[in-house]
Amino acid sequence: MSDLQMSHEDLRELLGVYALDAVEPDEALAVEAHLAECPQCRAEVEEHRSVASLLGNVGAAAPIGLWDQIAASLDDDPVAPFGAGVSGGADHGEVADHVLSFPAGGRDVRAARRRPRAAVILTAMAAACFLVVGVAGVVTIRQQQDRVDDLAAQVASTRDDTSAAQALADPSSSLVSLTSSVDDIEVRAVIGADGTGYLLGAPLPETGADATYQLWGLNGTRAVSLGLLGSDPRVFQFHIEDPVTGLAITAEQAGGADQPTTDPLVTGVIPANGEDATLPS
Amino acid sequence: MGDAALVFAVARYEEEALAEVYRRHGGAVHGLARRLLVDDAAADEVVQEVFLRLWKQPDRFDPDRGSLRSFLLAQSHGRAVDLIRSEASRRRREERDSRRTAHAAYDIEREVWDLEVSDKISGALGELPEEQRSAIVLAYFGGYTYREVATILGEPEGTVKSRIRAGLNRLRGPLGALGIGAEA
Repeated sequence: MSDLQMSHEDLRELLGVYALDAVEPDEALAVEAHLAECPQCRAEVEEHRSVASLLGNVGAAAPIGLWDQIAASLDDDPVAPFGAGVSGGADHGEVADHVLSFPAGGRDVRAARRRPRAAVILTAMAAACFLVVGVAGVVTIRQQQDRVDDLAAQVASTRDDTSAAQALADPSSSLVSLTSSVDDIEVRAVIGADGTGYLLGAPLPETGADATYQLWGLNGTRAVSLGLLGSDPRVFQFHIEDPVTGLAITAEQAGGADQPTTDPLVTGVIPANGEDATLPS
Repeated sequence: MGDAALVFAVARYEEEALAEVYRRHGGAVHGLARRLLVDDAAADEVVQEVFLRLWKQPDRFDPDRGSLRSFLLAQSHGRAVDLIRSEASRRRREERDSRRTAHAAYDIEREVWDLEVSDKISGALGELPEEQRSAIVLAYFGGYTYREVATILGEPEGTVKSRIRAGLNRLRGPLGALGIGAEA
C-alpha cells in the first residue's frame, strides 16, 4: 500500500485519478495534504475536474417530486441566522448609514447626562445578555471556515454583503472577538489584510435615538474613532488607517465623541496576521 | 441572477434560491448519479445530499474555481462513488463485477456509446487513444478505483494511472472551449 512517503512526482501521477474520485482512501488523504500546499497541483486537479464535469454533464430535467423531499429536509436544519433580531426582534434597518460624519466638539454641556445614560444602557445590556447568550449558544464558534456560512447569513442585511463575506472567507483576514468584562456579550469583527474591516451584527441593545454606539481602534492608551454605529448596530464597515492593536465599542451621545467618554462595553485584541482570536466557548 | 449570487442568497437561508439552483442544475446532478448507480432511488438520495450540503455549507463553492454546475457535478460524483464503495453496496458491486468478468470481453465501446453526451464531447472522447478512453470511462462512469480498472483491463496500475492523467490532459484542449452550463 502507499504511504505518506510519496514523492512529488508520485503525487502528480495521482492527480488525474484523484480528480475522478478513483484513488484509494489513503492515497486521497496524501493527495489532499499535498494539494493544501501546492498551488500548481491544485490547479491541475481543477483542470481535470472541469474536464470530468463536461463528460458527466448529461442533459436531463430535474426530477420534479424530488425537490419537495429536499425542501422538507431543510427544515431539519436548526441553524438560525445569527444576530438577526437579537436586540428585540424588530427590524430597524440601516441605522448606521446616516450618522457616519464625525462632528467635533459641541457636546460638553451634555456631559452630565452621559453617565446615567451609560448606566441605563449597561442595565439594559445585562438584561439583554440572557437573550444574546441564548442565540450565541446555537452557533458553535471554532474555525473561521466553519463559521463562514453562519456569518454570511449574519452579514445579509447590508450592501456590504459580498465584501464582508469575502473578507470572512479570506484566510489572511483577522477575526476579532470583542467581549465584555461584565457580561457574556460578544461582538465579532473581521479585518482584511488591506485594513478594511466589518463589524458583524453587533448584538447590543438599542440605545434610543439620542445615543449611538461608537467603534474605536486602540493603540496603547490612544483611541481612534473608527465610526459611529448608530443606536442598533448591524453590519458596519470600517477602515483602519493607523496601527491599532485592539477594538472597543462605547455608548456615546448621538453625534459621537472625539475620545471615549464612557467605559467600553466590549473590547477585543486584534490577533496577528490571519490568526483567529481565541474565542470564549 | 448569476449562480454566484444565487449561492450567496442560499447562504442567507433563502430557500427560493436553492430551489432555483435545483431547477438549473438538479437534472444534471441526478443524471450523473444515476449513470453511476444505475438506480433511481439511490440517485435521488445523492441529489438530496448534494443540495442539503450546499444549503448547509454554501461557502464550499468558490466561484473563482469553476462553475456551480461543475462543482455540483463533482459533489454528485464523489457521493455516488462513496455509495458504490460503501459496505451496503459492496455485494451488489461484487455481483456486478462477476457478471462483467463472466463476459470475457467487457464491452468498453458499448459503455462509451451509452453515454448521453453531446456530439462534441463524444467526439473528443472518440479522438482519444483507445486505452486512455477506456480507462477514463471505467474510472469516471464505472466508479472503479484505478487499481480496479487495472484489474479489469489487465494492465499495470501505474500504466492506468498515467493513461488517465494523459487522457484528461488531452481532452482539455477540445473540451476547454466548451465551458460548462454556467447559467443553464
